[in-house]
Amino acid sequence: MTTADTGTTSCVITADFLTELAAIVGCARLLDSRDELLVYECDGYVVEKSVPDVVVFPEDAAEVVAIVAACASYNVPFVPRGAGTSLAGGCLPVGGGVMIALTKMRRILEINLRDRYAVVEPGVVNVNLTRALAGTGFHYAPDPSSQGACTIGGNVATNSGGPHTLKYGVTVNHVIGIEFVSPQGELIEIGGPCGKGNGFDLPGLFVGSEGTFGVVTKVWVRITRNPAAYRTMLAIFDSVDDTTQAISNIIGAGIVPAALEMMDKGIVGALEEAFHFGFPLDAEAVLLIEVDGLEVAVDAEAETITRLCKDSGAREVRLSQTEQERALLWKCRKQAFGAIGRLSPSYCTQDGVVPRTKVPEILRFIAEVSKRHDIRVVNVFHAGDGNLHPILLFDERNTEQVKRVMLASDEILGKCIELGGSVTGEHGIGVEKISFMNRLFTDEDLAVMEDVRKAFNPQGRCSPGKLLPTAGACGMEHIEKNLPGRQAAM
Amino acid sequence: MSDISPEQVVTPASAEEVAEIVRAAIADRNQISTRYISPSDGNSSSDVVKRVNLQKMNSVVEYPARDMTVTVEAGMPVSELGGILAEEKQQLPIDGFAPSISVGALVAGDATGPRQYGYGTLRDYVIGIEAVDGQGRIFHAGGRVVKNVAGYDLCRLVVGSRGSLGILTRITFKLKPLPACSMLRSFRFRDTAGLDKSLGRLNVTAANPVLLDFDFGAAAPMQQQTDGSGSGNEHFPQTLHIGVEGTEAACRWQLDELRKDCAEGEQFESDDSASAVEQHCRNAEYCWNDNVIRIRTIPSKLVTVASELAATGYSSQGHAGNGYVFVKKEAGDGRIRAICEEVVSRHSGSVSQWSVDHPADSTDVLSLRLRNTFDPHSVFCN
Repeated sequence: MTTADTGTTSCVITADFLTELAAIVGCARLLDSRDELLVYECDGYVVEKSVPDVVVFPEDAAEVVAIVAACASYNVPFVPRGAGTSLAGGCLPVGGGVMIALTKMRRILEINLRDRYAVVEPGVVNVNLTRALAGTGFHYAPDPSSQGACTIGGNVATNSGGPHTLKYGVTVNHVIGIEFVSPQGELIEIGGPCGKGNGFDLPGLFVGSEGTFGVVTKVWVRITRNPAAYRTMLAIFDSVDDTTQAISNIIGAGIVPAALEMMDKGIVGALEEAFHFGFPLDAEAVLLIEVDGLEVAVDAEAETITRLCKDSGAREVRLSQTEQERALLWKCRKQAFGAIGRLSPSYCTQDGVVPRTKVPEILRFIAEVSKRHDIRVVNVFHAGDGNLHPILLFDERNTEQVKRVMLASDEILGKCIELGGSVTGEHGIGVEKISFMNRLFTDEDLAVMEDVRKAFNPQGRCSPGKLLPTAGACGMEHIEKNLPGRQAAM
Repeated sequence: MSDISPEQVVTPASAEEVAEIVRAAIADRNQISTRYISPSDGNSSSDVVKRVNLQKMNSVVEYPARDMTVTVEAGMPVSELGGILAEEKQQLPIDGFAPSISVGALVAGDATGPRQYGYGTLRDYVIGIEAVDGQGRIFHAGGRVVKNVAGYDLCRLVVGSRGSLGILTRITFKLKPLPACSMLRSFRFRDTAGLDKSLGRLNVTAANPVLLDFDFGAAAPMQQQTDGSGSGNEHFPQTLHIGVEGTEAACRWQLDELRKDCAEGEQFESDDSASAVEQHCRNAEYCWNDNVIRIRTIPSKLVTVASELAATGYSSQGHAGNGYVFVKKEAGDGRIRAICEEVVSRHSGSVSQWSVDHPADSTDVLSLRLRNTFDPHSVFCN
């Protein structure tokens, strides 16, 4: 018998409860031994840890309904989990309880090209939908860098982005319907192929709710026509200021590229060592820019962008000559975080956002913070959206250095708020950034959001301790506060 | 403090004043609305309904054009906002509304028009809001940056909520560049098979249409079929209108592609004027008239739905690419809605009418809870 805590009330994981869960999913799809549970003590955000009391692997919505109903009956908290790639502790089982792992619900149920939608289970890995669409002329547009691992259910929870969201939008722009199990154990469908009907935009509200509204069991997503043509460029700069000026000039010229990504010298060096692409090691920064659309139009856009980059001081602008070269460039970008290991034993990634024209100012600030705290920071981020991913490098064995990393991170995110931005563009609040919520929002804002949470999740049993500082935050004492360690950041 | 005229119209100048009005209405057990409602309106549960007119809240709060975002007060007329954005060669690409309405009404009504096919709808453009709920709380969601996942996405919730969850006081939009050029082409079809085939091809066209609208004529009355007294249009009862944008060269290239896609049709209008797409979108204001029944189906069912309506004597028009079908309701026609519902029930989709179907009337448990959360005193009259 173990004890779990929802943040407001304690509950007991009894043998009867475990027997009931086992009756639902079978013993083979239930984990409750300490060794096995340790795998689930954290997600991609490893700073904070909490071990679930039990992990179950349902295979269909009916099993999820039964699991949630059992949790309600025994007053046990639960948290849904996809691939565990959250970078903000989104699937951390705060206070223990049941973790509902959805990785066995991974069927693509329908692809309807004529009506441009697909229906998937929550455990479908993001890239597998686009793979299933290969050759049809369509794709699934949201492409987080972790798309090879992250699940669409997880994308719905965090409203995931990705490099191509600059033109195509984030997850919420592509979700038209959701089936989910409410914290009371009801199977509810909102939206669908014909949209939200005459009611409120409940799918729009649900996306990004970070698992606090229920457990997703099915998603209707829009599929997007493939562009007829791409032009992918690598612009090379000798100064970070020139690079950010080029970003501002491209957006200011009214051009919305499909993607506009920036990588600084530190990242480029690591990538070159890992992939041997031919990146210039003496450049201060590079921009990866992609335009797509009509074959008749992309050359003109690429020429304009090339001119704007050169006018801003680009040393060189290379145009990708083959599909293989383009694919390798994107592989480098999407696996940039994997290359960080060549730079440092540990790192911590932030997800701040600033208005696009404030990118030069925030990068100067990050450089100043890096110098002042003597913490090396490298940058790889979605420049066109103003969505930063400063990566703070450190050695977790050095506790004094770790403290400086925490201080530097806090200052960077604080500056993002000061510049009119946000502390998260795509990773979510999770448990990591809860302390920033009352710096971003007023007490009344948070009270309204808390009321909205209660409309879906009145007992706070579903994903306690997430997103809102008031959502069972007292359960946080159960989290093992570790040092910021290596993050499988994407 | 705000002015209150004898007509019970209040004109607040700030969110704080709106909050004060809401709190006063709660205390006085009155109702308020951002549109005019007569005391005899059937939806009102109160003897007194104050109209909150936001005309004094009509300024641009912030327009960092190079960020391609704008923050405005909710009372700003949409046409005025369009003019301000056009000076920077930018736009909020939403159409299908009366130019005089305010941005708050635009968002609350979730106006959508023909170009939603290429640009999406308001839920894709509202990135931040300030509003006052039914408890008089001023709340915010989203922000001023184009990418932001902090907190619940109340922006999406209020889009289309038609004032039932709160009074919008300030809105931040993401913007798009104005296209260099736009062109419109119309093709008419002799039969539904040809239309359906073309629509299937247009779904995978090499072009990139921003609008894909249709007109579907009703079956000719029997007398006209036998004596040939019709206008001649009955030989081409279906029409597609397709709009493209881009550089002039890109537009012309796309039109060539569209001609191939619509091989079964006959091009009959060639308006190369710069305002052809704009004019077409302006005409689509009919979608929101109260005498229009709106059907939302999936695009693959569109021709079937329109054909079945035509067989019962009703012509229709709408947005083919998005599965919207609009049927005009003539005065005194009491059966049209039932017919539409019968047709839709055989396929898929929903039927609605602006004045009849209100999101606040949704009876599902989540909508009821949300309504009670935002307006526990039923202070908002819909």
